[in-house]
Amino acid sequence: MSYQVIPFSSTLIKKQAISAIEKCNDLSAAHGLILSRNEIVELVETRFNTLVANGRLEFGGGVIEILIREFSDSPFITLENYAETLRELIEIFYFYKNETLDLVSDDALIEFMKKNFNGACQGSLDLLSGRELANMARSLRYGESQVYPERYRPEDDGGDKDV
Amino acid sequence: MSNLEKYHTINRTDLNDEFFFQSLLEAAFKHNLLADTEVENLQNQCLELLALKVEQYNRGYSSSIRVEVAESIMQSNLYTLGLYLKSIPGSGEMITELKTVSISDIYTKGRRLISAKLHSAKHLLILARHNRIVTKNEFYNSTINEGINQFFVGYNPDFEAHEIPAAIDYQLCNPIGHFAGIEYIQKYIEGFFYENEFCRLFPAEKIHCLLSGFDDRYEDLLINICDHVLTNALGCIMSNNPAAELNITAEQIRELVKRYSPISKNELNTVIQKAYELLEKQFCPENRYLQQYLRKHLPSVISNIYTAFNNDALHKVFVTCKYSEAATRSSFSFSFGGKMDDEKYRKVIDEILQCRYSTDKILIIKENIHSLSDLEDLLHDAQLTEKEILKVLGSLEISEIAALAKRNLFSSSFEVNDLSESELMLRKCLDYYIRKQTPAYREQVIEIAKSLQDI
Repeated sequence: MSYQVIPFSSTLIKKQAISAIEKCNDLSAAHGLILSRNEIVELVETRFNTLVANGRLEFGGGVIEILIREFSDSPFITLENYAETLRELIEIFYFYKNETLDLVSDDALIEFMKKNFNGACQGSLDLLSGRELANMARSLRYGESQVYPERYRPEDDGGDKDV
Repeated sequence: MSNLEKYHTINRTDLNDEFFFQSLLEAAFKHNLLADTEVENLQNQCLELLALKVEQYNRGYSSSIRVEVAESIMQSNLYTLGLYLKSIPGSGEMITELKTVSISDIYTKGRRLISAKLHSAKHLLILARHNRIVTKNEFYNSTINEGINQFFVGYNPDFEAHEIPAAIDYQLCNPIGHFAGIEYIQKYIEGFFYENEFCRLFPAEKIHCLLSGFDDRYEDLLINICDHVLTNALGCIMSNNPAAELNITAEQIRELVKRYSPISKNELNTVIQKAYELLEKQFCPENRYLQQYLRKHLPSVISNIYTAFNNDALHKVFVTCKYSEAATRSSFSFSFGGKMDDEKYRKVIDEILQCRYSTDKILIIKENIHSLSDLEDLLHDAQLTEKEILKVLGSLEISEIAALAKRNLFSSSFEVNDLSESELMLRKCLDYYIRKQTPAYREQVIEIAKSLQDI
């Protein structure tokens, strides 16, 4: 027997997220990146749909705030592709959160994404998702140590820090 | 006054015990005791509490969580809230609490209540283990030995308060009902304790013979021992047999069928109720909680007997004990029990030595000696006369006589010349006492002694 008096209130979570992301504009404005109210609403909607598609739940601004903070200084992001890149980053993030079996923290996963987006992938989200993150997730699932985010390398793998 | 009347529109029995908080909210909303805005406010507070618990669960590593884990945490939170609200007498007071106290405060009170209940359940388990019965039923033994304990190892009151991480195979005669988490385990151990209390009123070997009569392989059957003992004890009373024997012969079962068939359910109800009252008077006249527990199970017993009467299958409900075969096939573990504190023991011996009359000595023994181990020592040390020893032996169960005989009379590990005077005296008295009994009793003592282990 189960009662549905208290469903997970998506409206409330969305409201919280919108106001949290609006505050992030102050931070990204230093790099010439600003999100309009509509773009914020779309991003929150994207996040909500991605969360639902990946069977996850998040409160507050959640990971969008961290993504804005970490990626707003990327040389590959401009005002033109800012909202679209963020949208794709959100989708990639939650997909790999599940693919890495929740073994990697938000900060470590975003750090890995940023490093490879600005480095090996040269701003290509397809390479980031289809190659770097896929390799990392596979390595993690099969217990290989080479491409773990450094902060989450298992302690017993002999301290091999080469990525 | 109008408020009081209003609150009473929620009937406590209509609320679901497992999903208490949700059902209370639903009922309060239905009866207009909570406005839309109040319900919305409570929902938002529940969501805030969930966000906080998710953060604690993730320990800052992740801002998102898998939906199934979040749902489980939500369920755990609602369970904890419900547990506290359930402890408030009266639905009116519950609603007042919901309106005046924040959800996080109610949660804190509920969490405290879980800790208290955990503590009390652990204590109950100690008591239930202490009064466990000696049986070879695997499910009974594995549940009390390991199954229940798994709960206390795996229970997580912060995030999975509603779960029951225990391997409980042995089913009680009174089902636990719609309870979850700590409440379930508490009620289970309580029921287990009462069933033990009742079964311990009958000798373990009698229960063994009864269950062997039910099925040779009862060790591996998922049966409830208390149910069988209660049913047969009632059957014994209906057949004018001593209930303590737990045995009804095939002939007596046929007589019962002849005497009562055809019988309506109401008539049978009256007969069984009468038999039960006699049983209660004889076995547990003062244990009100045990009486309540057994009375709760009585309708099920009556229903089984009624069905058996109608289907000509009374022999399936009332069981004929399997004595000799059961005894030869069985090998009971029998413990002489722990010894009392040396100083206390010395005091009892001194007291007995100072007594002039045998009746006083027997009274002191009855009051102070609770294990066979101490009794055996006492029979050696208290300088009792033959007559007194025989009186003490007369008050023992057949299994206890068999255990004493096995160690002091039948054992070949000692030479008679090596025995002390008191040991010889006990041996002589045991021999005399057993010889004085009926041949059937003697045979049974020998068979039980043969089957006893760990002496």
